[in-house]
Amino acid sequence: MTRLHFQPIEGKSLDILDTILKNTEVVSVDDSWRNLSVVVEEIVLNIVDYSKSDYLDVEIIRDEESITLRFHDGGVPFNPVEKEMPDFAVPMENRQIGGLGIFMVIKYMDTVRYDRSGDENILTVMKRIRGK
Amino acid sequence: MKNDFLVSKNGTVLIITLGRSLNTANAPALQDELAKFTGETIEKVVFDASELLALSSSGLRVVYFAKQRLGNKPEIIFVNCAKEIYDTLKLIGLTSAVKFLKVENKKVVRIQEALESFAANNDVVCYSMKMGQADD
Repeated sequence: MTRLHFQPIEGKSLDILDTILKNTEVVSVDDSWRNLSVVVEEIVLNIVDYSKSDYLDVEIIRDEESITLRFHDGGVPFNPVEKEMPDFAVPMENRQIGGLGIFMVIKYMDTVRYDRSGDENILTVMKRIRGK
Repeated sequence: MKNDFLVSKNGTVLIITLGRSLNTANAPALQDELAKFTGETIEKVVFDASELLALSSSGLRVVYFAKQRLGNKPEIIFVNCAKEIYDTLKLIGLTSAVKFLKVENKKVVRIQEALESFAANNDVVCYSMKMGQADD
């Protein structure tokens, strides 16, 4: 397991993404399943841009069957799982982009779980992927 | 490619050659580049996705921008779209709003020729999955 700590995070989203995506356990998945980089980007941007947290901790757990990422931030309570999903019945020319990132995270990953513990948001996402 | 994309205009067709990713690292720069064409007559926006492997919501924002802000709701075409990218567009319900085109030769001139041929058969939507074939 790897645990990464980022502080401060304001304006650092690209640096944070770069560090996470270069992690060996993430690379082992991202080489064959590129949507993991998309998932990481959507979650990190959401936390950096909207949480008002001054830190972000990321745990990365890779085993034979899956990869799990757990994001801890000390920002305002936000449960992405309960966020209203975009309306895809709206024609493309009239659509709003909002909510698309969270929707993609939920669709791409096998498990997305939100917990609020003390003053922390904890978002855990897991994807079943065979082979290391 | 600086920022992992190239933009060129041929008549009323805007051709955007994408690199391996369209995400938060390069999508804002691409949108700034496309913004230079607002007010011009753009009938088609072609995304050459031959190399594209990852498309995030930041990248999708640019695709929306092309449809909503360029020309008069131009036709959006993805060329040589990998299965994963097609699946992303399908996931958000864009496969009926976007045309998919397979071009064997990735050079822009070939894309233009293919588009002209495609335009002659505009009722036909071409899609072919790129399943890990080797580059030229």
